[in-house]
Amino acid sequence: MPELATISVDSDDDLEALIEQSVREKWGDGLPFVPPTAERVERALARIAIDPDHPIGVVQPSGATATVRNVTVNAIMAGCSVSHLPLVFAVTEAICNPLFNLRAIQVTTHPVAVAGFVSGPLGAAFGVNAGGNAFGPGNRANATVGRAIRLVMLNIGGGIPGLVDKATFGSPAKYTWFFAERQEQSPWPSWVERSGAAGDSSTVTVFGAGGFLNLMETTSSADQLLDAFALSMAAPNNNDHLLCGEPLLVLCPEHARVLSSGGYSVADVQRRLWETARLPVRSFTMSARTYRLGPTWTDILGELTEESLIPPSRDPEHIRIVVSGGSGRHSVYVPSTGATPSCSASLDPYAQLLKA
Amino acid sequence: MTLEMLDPRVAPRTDAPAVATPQLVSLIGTPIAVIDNNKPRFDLFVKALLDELRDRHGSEPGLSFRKPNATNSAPAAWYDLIAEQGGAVIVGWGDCGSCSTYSFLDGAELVRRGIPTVVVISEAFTTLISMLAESQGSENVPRLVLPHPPTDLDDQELINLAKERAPEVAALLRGEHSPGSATPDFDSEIG
Repeated sequence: MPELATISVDSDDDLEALIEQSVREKWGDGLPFVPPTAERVERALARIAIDPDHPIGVVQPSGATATVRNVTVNAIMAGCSVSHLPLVFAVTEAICNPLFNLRAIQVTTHPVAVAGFVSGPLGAAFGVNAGGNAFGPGNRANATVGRAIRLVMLNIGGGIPGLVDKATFGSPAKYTWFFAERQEQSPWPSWVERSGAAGDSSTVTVFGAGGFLNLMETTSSADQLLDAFALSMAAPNNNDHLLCGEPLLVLCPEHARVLSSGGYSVADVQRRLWETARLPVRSFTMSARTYRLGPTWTDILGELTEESLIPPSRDPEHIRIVVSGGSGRHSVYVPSTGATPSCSASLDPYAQLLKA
Repeated sequence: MTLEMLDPRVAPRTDAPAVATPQLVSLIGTPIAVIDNNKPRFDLFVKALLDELRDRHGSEPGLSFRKPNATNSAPAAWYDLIAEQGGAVIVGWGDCGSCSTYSFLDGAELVRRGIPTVVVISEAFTTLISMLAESQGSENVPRLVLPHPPTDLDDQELINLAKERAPEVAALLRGEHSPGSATPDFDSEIG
C-alpha cells in the first residue's frame, strides 16, 4: 500500500498557518479547508467497500493516477461528508475519460470550469440541490463535490494556477460547480433516460463550461421563447460557433413547461435552436473566418460563403438540454470550449460501495 | 501546537526515459515538414521560415498538415507519413495554454519516433511547457521561443522575425542548440 506523504505545521494557530502553507505551496485553492488527517481519511475509507488503491482514472496533464485513497484525501479537504464520496469518485471517472480532454481544460487561457451534474434518483438521495440556487451557495453536496473535483484537478492533475493553468481570467466557477437535474419538475424524460440508460439509474455528467449567460424571459409563447434564446446564444466570440461546440442549456422548470405546453419535446427544442441560433460568416472577423470557421466548419457545412450560417454545434443533439433550478423565468446558456466533449459516468457502482 | 495531515498531492507520472534527441547532420536537401495547428498567422510565419531555411540552409519543402483545431494532438497517421518521408518537422504554434501543450505533445511524439523536430511556442508558455516536458520525460524536445504575443507583429514584422530566427531553427535541428542555452552565432550552411 503506497503511503501518502504528510504535511505538518507548527503554529499557535495551526489552521491559519495551514491555509497560508496551502497557498504558498500551491496545493490549496485559497479557501479554508478541512485538514485530511490520517485519522479522518482512515475513517472515511473504512466506509468505502473497495481497495483504497483502486484506480479511478488518469488525471491530466500530470498523468498521475487518481485512486480511491488520494481522491478521498482531496474530498475531505474540500469539506465533503463521507456520504458524498461516491459522487466525487464518479465525477473523477468522468473527467478522466480521455474524450473529455481534461488536459486542454487544465492548461487553457479560456475561463473554462468543470460543471458537473447528477441525473437520476441518486441526486436527491445524496442531497444534491436541484432547486433554487442550484448553482449557488447553501448546500454542502453542491459546494463540496465541485470543490473536491477542483482539488483533484490541482493536486492529482497538476493544474497549478499560473504555472500550468494559464487561464487569462479563470472563473469563480473554478472553485465549485455541481448541481442536480430537477426531474420531478421536468415535463420531459430525464437526462439519464434520454441517454438510453434505465430510468432508475443515475449518472454524473461533466461539461467544460465557459461560464453562463442568464436568459430572463417572461413570454408564455414557446416560439418566441426559443427565438429569444437563439438570439442570445448566437455571438461571434462564442467558442461554440467558432469551434463547433456542445452548448448546454439549463432550463428552469417554468421555461421547460412553456416549451412543453407549446408542443416541444427536447429533440424539438434542440432542432429549433440548432436551426436558429446561427450567425452568418460575415459577422465574424477575418481572422476568425480564416483560422477558425474555415478549418472547423467546411467539412460539416461545405464551402463557406459570406452568407453561410454557422450553428453552435455539429448537429441538434449536441445542443444539450437539462432542467434544473427553482422558481422564476431564468434559464441559463452554458457555452462550451468547443474542444471538450461532455462525458458521463455511472453513479450506481460507486453508490453501492458506501457502507452504512 | 503541531497539526499533521496527509499530503493531497500525487507525483506526476514520468513516462519512459527520453530517447536521444534526433538530429540532422545537415539541412541541405532535407525535406522539412510542417504541422500547423491553424492558430492565426502561423502559416505566414512558417512559410517565411521555410523559405529562409531553403535559401540559407538548402532544405527542401516537405509534407504540410493543418490541424482542424489546436486543442488536440495530430492524427498518428501524420506522424507516420512524416517519418516515411524522412527529414525534419516544424510544429506550431503555441501562443496559448492548450495550443502550446498540444504542439509540444505532437513534437514529443515526433521526437520519440526519431524525427528531428522544432516546436514553436511563445515565451508566455515556457513554464507550462517545461513542467509538461518534465512530467513526460521529454525535456529534450527542441523549442523555438518567440516573444509573446507573436500576433502583435504585423505581417512584415512576422516575416522578418522568421528570417531572423531561421538560423536558430537550423541549429536546433542539427542539435547545436538547446532550449535555455546561450544563443550562439548561427552560420548559414550554403553561404
